[in-house]
Amino acid sequence: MEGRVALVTGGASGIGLGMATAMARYGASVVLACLRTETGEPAAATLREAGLDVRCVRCDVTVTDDVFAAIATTVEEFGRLDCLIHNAVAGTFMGAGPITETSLDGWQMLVASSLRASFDCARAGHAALQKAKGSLVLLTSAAGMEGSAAIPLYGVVKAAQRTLVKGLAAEWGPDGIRVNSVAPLALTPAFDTAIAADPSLIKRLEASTPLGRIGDPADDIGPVAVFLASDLSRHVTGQTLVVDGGGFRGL
Amino acid sequence: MIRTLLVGAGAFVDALYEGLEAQGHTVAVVVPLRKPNADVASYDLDTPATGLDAAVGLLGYPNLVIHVPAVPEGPTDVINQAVEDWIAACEAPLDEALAVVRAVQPLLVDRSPTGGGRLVWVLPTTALSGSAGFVATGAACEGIRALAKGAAKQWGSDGATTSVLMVDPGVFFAGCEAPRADGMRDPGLAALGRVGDPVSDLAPLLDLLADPRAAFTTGGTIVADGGTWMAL
Repeated sequence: MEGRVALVTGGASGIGLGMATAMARYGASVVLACLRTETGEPAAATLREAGLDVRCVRCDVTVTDDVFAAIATTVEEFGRLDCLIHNAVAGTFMGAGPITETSLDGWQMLVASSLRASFDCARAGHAALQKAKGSLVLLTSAAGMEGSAAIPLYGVVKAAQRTLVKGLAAEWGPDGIRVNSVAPLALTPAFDTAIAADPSLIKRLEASTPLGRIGDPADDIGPVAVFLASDLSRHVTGQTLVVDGGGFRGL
Repeated sequence: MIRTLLVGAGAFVDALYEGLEAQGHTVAVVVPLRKPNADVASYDLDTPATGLDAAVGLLGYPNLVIHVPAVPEGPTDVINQAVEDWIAACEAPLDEALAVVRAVQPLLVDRSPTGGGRLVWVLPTTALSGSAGFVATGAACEGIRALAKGAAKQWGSDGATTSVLMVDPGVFFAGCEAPRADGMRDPGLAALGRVGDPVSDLAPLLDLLADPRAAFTTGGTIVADGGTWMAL
């Protein structure tokens, strides 16, 4: 990926940081688009100390101007954008609980950060991605494919993002842009919080995962980002790659 | 006698109404008050409850609720799509579906006089395939399909069930400009040589889903497009 440029929203931690780290290790210049630069800047600095080309820009993905500005800054600084990964999602709100009781404010935030932000990323990134014959990647989830009793509204937006990818792949194929989604399961800060609340969670998940462990953001999920960002996947578009150790096998 | 609440508006909904009456259902139609281009921020998610309450007053508790979400009929490429059009095509149908779920839940779970009813969404198969020109609409409909699954999981112990009936876009959009990709409007692609009639092909399936003999299916998707889409 030498000479390639990628931008990852929600890149300060978790799966976003893992994907960014992997792409940078393979030679890409990577921009972490982060809501909080106080976490994004140290993350970028740590990777730079390891010899990687990683920078941080502030970006609230629920603000259209922020999305356009982050992408414009990236193109201005690096001259191109080859891969745009929209990974960020609304803070800690996952739409948990009965559908009839879920916070509507939380629902709107989920829609804004997942769906509206995908729309904004698509509009803002199209020209640069077309020029680079690049790749757009959205993050989805098994919850969007099989539905979820625990986090049903999170499943709703993730399902919507998955078909958004299929439609965009059809629409942008003639422009030479590939569009795919990744459905990961990995140990992240959000996952750590869930485990702290329910220590038995990790054992249950490991038991239901054929590979017997939960993934690592950089070493297990990251290489899939490298694949989708690079020419290795040049004939792959409109697809969902489930990267969870085999837990979900419904496709 | 099956009591059916049909939530939606337009030519396709009118045809379903005719078909359900032909199946012997007593049908009340609830038209969502949201205007197609209403700002999502001003959309009252409790709005459908008012219409549903009125319909239940006339009809009694329903055995079957059918939601046909309002989605725009014409194609728009994402990069040329105005924000308000994106909202109308993606976010507002999702809001509408969530509002319907929240409003009908008390009508369908087993504390209702019907002892547990069924909620069915009728959606175009673009939710499954995605389609150029209908990116936002397809995304919304697939989101609704996940909502049906989540509701099925949450309501199962209460005896209420959900289903999704997926139909050919050319039928769903009822003569309007349907998704242009993949030749989906070409009846010649359907194994049965035609893509379906709301009255004679789709209403009987909805009737079947309301029948107690279908009570053990929930959260699932039935594709009724004459065999155009077989990738499930």
